Amino acid sequence: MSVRTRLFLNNPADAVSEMLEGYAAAHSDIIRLSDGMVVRATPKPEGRVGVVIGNGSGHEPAMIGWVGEGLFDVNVPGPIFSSPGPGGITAGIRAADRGGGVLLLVSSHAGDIMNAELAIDEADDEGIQDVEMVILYDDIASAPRDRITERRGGAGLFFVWKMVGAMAERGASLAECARIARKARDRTRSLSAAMGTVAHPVSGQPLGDPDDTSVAVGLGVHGEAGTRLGEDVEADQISELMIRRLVEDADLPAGAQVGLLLNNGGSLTILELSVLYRGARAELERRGIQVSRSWMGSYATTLDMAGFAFAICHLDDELLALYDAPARGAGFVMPGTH
Amino acid sequence: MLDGDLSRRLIDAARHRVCDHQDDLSRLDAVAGDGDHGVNMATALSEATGRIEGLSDPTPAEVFSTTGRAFHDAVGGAAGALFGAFFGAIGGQMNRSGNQAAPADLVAGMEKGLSRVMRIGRVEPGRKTMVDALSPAVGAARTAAELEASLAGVLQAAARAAREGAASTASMEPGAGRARYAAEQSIGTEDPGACTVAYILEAWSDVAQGAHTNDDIGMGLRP
Repeated sequence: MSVRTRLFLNNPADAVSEMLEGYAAAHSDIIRLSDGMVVRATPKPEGRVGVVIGNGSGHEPAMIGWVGEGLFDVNVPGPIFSSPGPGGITAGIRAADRGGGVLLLVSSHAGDIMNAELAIDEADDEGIQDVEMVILYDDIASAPRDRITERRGGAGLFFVWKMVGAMAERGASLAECARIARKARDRTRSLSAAMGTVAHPVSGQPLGDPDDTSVAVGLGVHGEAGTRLGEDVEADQISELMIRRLVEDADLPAGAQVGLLLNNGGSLTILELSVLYRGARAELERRGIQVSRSWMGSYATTLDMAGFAFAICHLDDELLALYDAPARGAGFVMPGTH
Repeated sequence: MLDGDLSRRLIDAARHRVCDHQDDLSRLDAVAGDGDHGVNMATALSEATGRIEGLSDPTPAEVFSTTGRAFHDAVGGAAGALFGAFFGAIGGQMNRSGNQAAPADLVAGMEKGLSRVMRIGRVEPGRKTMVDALSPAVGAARTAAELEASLAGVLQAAARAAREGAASTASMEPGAGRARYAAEQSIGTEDPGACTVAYILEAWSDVAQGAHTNDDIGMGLRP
C-alpha cells in the first residue's frame, strides 16, 4: 500500500494558515478568523461561560468545524499535529472570556497538557482568574483501566464537546460546565483501527511503517502504533472485537442506553463506514445495549488516514438532553435518533 | 565570558546544526511520533534567530529569553513547550548577569532549565526523552564549571555527555510522551528530542572552541 505523499497544497509550511482562511471564508455565517484563532461570528451573550480548546491541525473538522452556537466559542489551531503554544492558548482564553468564566478543555496529549498549563499560568498573571481546565481522555488502548487518567483523547470526546457546549449555551456556571465535562468523559470510551499510514504534509515523513499493510487496532490520532490483526480480517470481525472491548471496559450492563459514534479517520468511504456501523450496531444489540443516537462521519481525522474509531457514550437523561440541544458549527451534524 | 554577541552566535550555530540534521531528526520521530520533530526544531530556531536579529545590542538574557518565546510561539506541542522552557530558564538566570555572563551563570541557567523541563514534562531520566541527554549534559557542565573550566571547556563536557546520553536512549523503553504508545517500535531508535539536545550543545561547544582560539590568537598578536 502506498502512502500519499503529495497533497493539493501550495507551500506546505503555509498549509494551516491557508486552510484557516479558506475554511472561515466558506463558513463566514458561523465563524471568523481573529489573530489565527477561529471564533464565533456571533459571540455568545455576556455573562455566560466561554468554552475554548487548542489542538493540533490536520484533524479537521476538529476543532475548527465545532466553533459556533452550542459548541466552542474559540478554537486555537496549532501547527500540524502539534498543540499551539501557551501564548496562543492564553489569547484564546482572553477571546472566550464573556465575563462568566472560561472553561479550557484539553484532549489528553502530552503537548496539549503542557501548553495548556503554561497558558493557565499566563492568564492568571494577566488577571484572568476564572479559568478552569478539564483534561479529557477516552481511548481505551492507550492505558489500562486502573491508570485511566493516563489515557489519551480520541474521537469519543465529541460527545463531551457537544454536551459541554450545550451546558454553557444554557447559561450554566463554570463549575456546572466542568462537572458535565468530567461526567461525559467518565461515561465515554473510544477505540480506533487503521491500515497503512499517512505522511506528514510538511516533513513528508510517513507516520509509522508505510510498508505494514495489516489492520491495527488501538492506533493514536497521530499514527501511534497499535495491535496488529493481520490482513485478512473482515469488517464484521473488527467491529465485533472493538465493540466488545469498549463495552467491557465501560462495564456497560444490558439495558444501557448509548450514543454510538463511528468516526472516519480520513479516507474511508461511506460504503466501508456503513458496513462497519452495521456490524457494531448488531454487536451492541446482541448485548442488549440500546443505541439511541448515532453519529457516522468525519469528526477527528488524521489527514487521509485509512482508519476509523468507534466510541460509545453511556447516556442518561441529563446527558441525552444536552446531546439533543440545538447547535450550529461548520462541521457539525445533529445525531441520528433511534 | 558570554556576552550578547556570543549568545547570538550560539543560537545561530544551533539553528545551522539542527537545520542540517532536520531530516534525520524527523525520521527518528516518525518511528514513534508524528515525523515532524526536525522541521519543528528548525522552524523554532529560525524564528528565534529572526527575532534576535531585530534586537539592537541584546544582552545574553534577551537572546535566550527571545529564543524560549520563539519555541513557544512557533512550534507549540510538547517539544515547543519543553525546549521553550529550557531556553527561557537560561534567559531568566542571565537577567542577573548584565552583558557579561560567566560560564557558571550559563550552567546555573541550564540546571534551572533541566528542572523546569522535568517538572512540566513530568519526566525523570531513563524514560527515553530529551532529559536523558540534558541531565548528563548539565551534570558534566556543572562538574567542569566547578573545576573552573572556560566556557569552551564547560560546553565541550556538556556536548560529549549529551551525545552519550542521546545514544543511550536507543535501548530505552519509552516511559513518557507520545512514544510510550509505540514502545516496541521505538526500541533501537534514539529519542529525537535527546538528539536535538546533543546537536545544540555540540554546536555551542564548537562555537566556544572557536571563540576561545580566536581570543588566544588575538591576545598573542596584541603588542
